[in-house]
Amino acid sequence: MKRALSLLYLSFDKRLSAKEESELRSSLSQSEELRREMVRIEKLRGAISQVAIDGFDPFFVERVMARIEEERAKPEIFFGSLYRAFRWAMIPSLALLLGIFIKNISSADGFSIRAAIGLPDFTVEDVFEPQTDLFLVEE
Amino acid sequence: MNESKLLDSARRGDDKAFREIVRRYEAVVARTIKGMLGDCAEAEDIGQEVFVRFYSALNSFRGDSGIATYLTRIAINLSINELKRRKRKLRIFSSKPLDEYSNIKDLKYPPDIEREEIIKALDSLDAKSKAVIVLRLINGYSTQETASILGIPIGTVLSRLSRAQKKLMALLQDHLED
Repeated sequence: MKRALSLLYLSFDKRLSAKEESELRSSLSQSEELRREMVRIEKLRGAISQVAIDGFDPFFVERVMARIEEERAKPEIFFGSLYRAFRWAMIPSLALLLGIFIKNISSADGFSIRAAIGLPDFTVEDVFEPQTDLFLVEE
Repeated sequence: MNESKLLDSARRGDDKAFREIVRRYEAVVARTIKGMLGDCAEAEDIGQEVFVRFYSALNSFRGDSGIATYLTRIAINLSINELKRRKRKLRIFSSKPLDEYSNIKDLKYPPDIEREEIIKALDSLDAKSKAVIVLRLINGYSTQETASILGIPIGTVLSRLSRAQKKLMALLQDHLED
């Protein structure tokens, strides 16, 4: 009966194999309870599928388009306000940077990007190599 | 205009084409969201969000699944998130659930099943079971489509459907008897 019931439920949502179908037919012909269950499933599914649901309120399309317009404007607002807020500092900052580059280059031995941005002339190994003599204990 | 032409135009920034997409698929999205959440204030917001997300994903949408399926998938995911949010809220405030499905049209129900009873029974389902019932029985998607939208195997859809129907049957038992 459990198998027949399972096949009955499946039959509403899946195409049963020929063997399963004949098994279900045979069970249905023998069981009054199974036939009643089938009617109950049909009634239930009928009731649910007839639940008609309204669409959204009128002018939904317009409201969606307005939201999309808002979304589009967002980065513009962000970058626009960023630009407006810091516009006054742009030219002095550029002039300051240029001044620093020129000073760094003039005080360095030769022209290089490292020299322009004032990077010190030593390597990572120079920084992290332990000075072993510090650990020597004098006898 | 067919779906792929509409998509191409929308990708090129043609607002008219995107408006047409919204107009065409509004009903599918509404059925899915209202089926999951009932007719509440959040339903419209989520409906808008579905289309806004689709708009943002226009260029990455490959069109393998069709617009309706893709939109339904977003709608289901957002609705499940909303149901989780409500559940959390209910736990915090322990208030009664909202009276959902209040504007579902009173149409053609078998006369022996009260509309309110169906509403209550559907509302008692967990989000995952509700999703398969909404997609399969209310939206009329096939089992295969339901599985694809939810990203789960067909076997899982079938077992969730069966479990959900048994639960609904138990709740509506008196109304389903001859």
